[in-house]
Amino acid sequence: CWWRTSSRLFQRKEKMSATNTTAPGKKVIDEKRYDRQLRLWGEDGQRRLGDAKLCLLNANASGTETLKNLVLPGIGAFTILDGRKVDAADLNNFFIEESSIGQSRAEVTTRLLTELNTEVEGHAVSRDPVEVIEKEISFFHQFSLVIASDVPEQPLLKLARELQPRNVPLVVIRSYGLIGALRISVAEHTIIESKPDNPADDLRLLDPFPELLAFSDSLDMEKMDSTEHSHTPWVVILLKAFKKWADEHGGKTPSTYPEKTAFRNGVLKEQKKQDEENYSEAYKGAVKSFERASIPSDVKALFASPKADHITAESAHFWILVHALKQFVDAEGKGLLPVSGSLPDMTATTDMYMRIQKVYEKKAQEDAAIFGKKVKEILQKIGKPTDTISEEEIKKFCKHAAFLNCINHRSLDEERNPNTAKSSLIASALADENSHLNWYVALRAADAFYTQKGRYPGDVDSNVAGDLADLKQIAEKLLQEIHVTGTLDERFLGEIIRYGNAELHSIASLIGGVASQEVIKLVTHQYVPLNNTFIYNGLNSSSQSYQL
Amino acid sequence: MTDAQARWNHINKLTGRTGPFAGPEFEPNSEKGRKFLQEDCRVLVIGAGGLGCELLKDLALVGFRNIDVIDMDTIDYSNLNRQFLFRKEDVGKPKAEVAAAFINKRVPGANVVPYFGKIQDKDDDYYRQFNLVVAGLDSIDARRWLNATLVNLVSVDEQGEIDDPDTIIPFIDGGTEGFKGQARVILPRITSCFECSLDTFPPQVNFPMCTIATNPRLPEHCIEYARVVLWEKTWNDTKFDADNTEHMKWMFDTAVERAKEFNIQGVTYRLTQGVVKRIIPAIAATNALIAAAEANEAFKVATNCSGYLNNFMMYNGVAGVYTYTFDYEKKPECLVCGISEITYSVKPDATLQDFMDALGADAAYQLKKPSIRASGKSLYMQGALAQATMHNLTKKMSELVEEGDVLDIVDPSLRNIALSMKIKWQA
Repeated sequence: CWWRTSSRLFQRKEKMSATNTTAPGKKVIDEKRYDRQLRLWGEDGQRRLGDAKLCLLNANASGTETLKNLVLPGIGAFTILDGRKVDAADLNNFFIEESSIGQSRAEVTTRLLTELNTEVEGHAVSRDPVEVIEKEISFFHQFSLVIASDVPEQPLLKLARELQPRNVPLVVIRSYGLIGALRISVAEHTIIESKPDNPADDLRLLDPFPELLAFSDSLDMEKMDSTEHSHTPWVVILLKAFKKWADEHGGKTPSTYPEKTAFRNGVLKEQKKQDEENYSEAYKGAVKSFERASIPSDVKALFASPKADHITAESAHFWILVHALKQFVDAEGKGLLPVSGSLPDMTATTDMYMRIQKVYEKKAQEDAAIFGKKVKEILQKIGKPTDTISEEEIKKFCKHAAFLNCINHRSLDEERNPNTAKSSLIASALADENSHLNWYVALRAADAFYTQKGRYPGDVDSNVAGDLADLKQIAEKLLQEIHVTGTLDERFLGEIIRYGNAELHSIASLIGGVASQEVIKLVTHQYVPLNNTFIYNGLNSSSQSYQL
Repeated sequence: MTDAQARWNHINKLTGRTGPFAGPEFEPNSEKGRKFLQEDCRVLVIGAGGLGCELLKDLALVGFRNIDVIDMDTIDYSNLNRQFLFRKEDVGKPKAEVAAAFINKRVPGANVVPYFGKIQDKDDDYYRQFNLVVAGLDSIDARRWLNATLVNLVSVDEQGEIDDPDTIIPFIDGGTEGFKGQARVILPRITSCFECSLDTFPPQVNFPMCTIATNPRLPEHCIEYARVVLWEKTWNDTKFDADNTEHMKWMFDTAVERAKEFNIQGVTYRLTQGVVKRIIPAIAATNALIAAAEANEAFKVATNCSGYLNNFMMYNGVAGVYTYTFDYEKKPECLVCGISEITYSVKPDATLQDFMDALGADAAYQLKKPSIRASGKSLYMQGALAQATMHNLTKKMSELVEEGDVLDIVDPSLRNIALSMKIKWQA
């Protein structure tokens, strides 16, 4: 019987602590333990982590380091698929004990990983991953994400082909001497909360909605006393100033550099006292306000996607919501997204700030209600219950409308196919010794060497001298096949031979850090993941990302 | 213990084989390389927290054995999401000790020696013992102190030239915050030092008092009011202890009351903690990445097997994975490693206190506790002589010094380095 599965489950239930949040039927979140990370991805992100089921192929150091950074923050479950027995060289791995030499590497590492966080379920399957890929690929259907470490190229491609149509993300990690590499492949990854570093404010100063304009008009700055004047929000100051400019310039807004400068200086001149903080905020705020509000390019791309057009009962919630958003923009939005309702802090009296905050909030609520109605109408049209998408989900989507995104990764096959490979990108890299793509090509050559000879170049000392000639030939052939003119500088091949697929713990740990971070983004659907290749050069501690 | 050749298979390929990028001075010799790493090299790790745990693991697993670690903290439950050498049962115990014990148990041959205390507890002779210092600190002040110490250890002649390169102790530093971080290699007196980049870490700006006291708008303002105004009013001299649950609850309840007064929403316990403790979000992934970059540099420095980080790498993982590596240049006017005399402009009518406050707020100086002398007289001295020199604080600068006078300033952040500051009147 070829079913040689040895599968052991490691899990200990932990007593619930008083600081946990509970929702009926939901897993409890340990808020105290996870405080520092909840500040990054909130409870929603944490729940998604808790629901995830990961698979790691090969528990070498790169693999276990990746898992460590996922077990610690509370991933739901992981399975390690690894057919090897622990040997002395595995002592470069933190999740191996000296006493476990000779035992199943899957079992040993699973035990020491689950020990880090008793909430996490760990399974060990002591089977050769290549054998599972060849003979029982349906094994991988149970996972929400797969991490592949030290998997030879041909079986890896087979695995990728199985996961791609199921939209299960594949994360390929590699630590090779002083070089680290990461490749992510998932057909479609949608994001609502991309959480950019410096999100633009949604203040509508050039296109004020009626209520906002009415609020601004209701304030007569000439009649204000000194305190009121210096505590009127800068948003109001600019609304009035833009209106005045439009009246004096035939409805236009400042567009040339001299006009913008004149506008800003004009605003400052209105100060009654020197150093009115709200006026200096208005001066600074003006710079960001000259651009009319528009649909961000990532959102435009969503609207243009065929998936947003043709909505059926099988459509994902995300695309139903995009479709509704498009309808909103085309109708009530008048070309703009729903108002987000967020107002940054600004110099103002408490009362004044509350009042203007309410104006934006009320408009955001109205827009959200219109949007919500459209969503329900669409659901009805496709024969689904109107509460299929929850109020919470609708509200969240609406609030983050400016930050939506969808990433489509090219597959590993597309990367390699001569018709679709990024040949000119690679060709120009070969001419630049500082380009990280040189290492990429060298690693691809090493993979092809493995496919041919069943071992990596320079694997043992006695092969070092002889392997260079073969590796060079293989590299040339590889480049020719994808129509790349030029040759790889032989120094990169020489260094790859030197490494002989050595796994230095520092590089393994670094790649483990990067990979786990990307897994978190893929699982939580927050922040924006890498698209799609990352190369770390540990010789000078630099890196580069590519879309290959 | 398994010290079979096989254990070092991976490392041997780097220390025992040369390659096109190895560098001219590299002598491939796996035995010699390993001997230095394991027997002779002494590494000092500063911090046993988020970065420190990762550093200890990485250094031990790339072959270092003689590792010392300093940390003054005890373990908190909220550390457990990333500081993986600690368990629930360890809460309350010293980080350095628990971390050292774990590594020594897990990694055969590792000899991590912990010190539960401050870096300032140790003297120059202590720091001299090490070949490398690798840091995972969470405080600007501590970094400055350590940096000044290591720069000071470098032996220079009267012209300021290095006359004994063996006194240079490479200082590898790193820091993280959420999905961001940085790692750098400092070769004291050769590359830029930490102080050279001080102005990129400007002093923390607090909310203006008039906002907190009169015009609160955000829940944060209400929390700060409780912290800055009401605590002292209510508890007088009792110092607020953020780790005391009773104190924190009082802070939260008080902030809620304040928010009710102004109809402000959003004061939660988590927000209160965040504001009051200045909590920075932290995860294992970013700490792992930055610490690994540091440990990788340490490995290369100790084995000479490859090139180096020259000398600053910034990291941002919010969108994609992005690093920027560049040579942070030495600052000629650096207070620690640059020229020793500076000219500073001050208004003649400013008081000595004003002058000292300016030095504290100035991003390039950030001198929190300066002691100042001029022409042999003490203008203001911290500590024992504070009472005797207090009266000078309210005097105008023009009453105390003349234009062109040189002030001698010392400050704890700069260790034994005395600044010579020539005074110029500002119009």
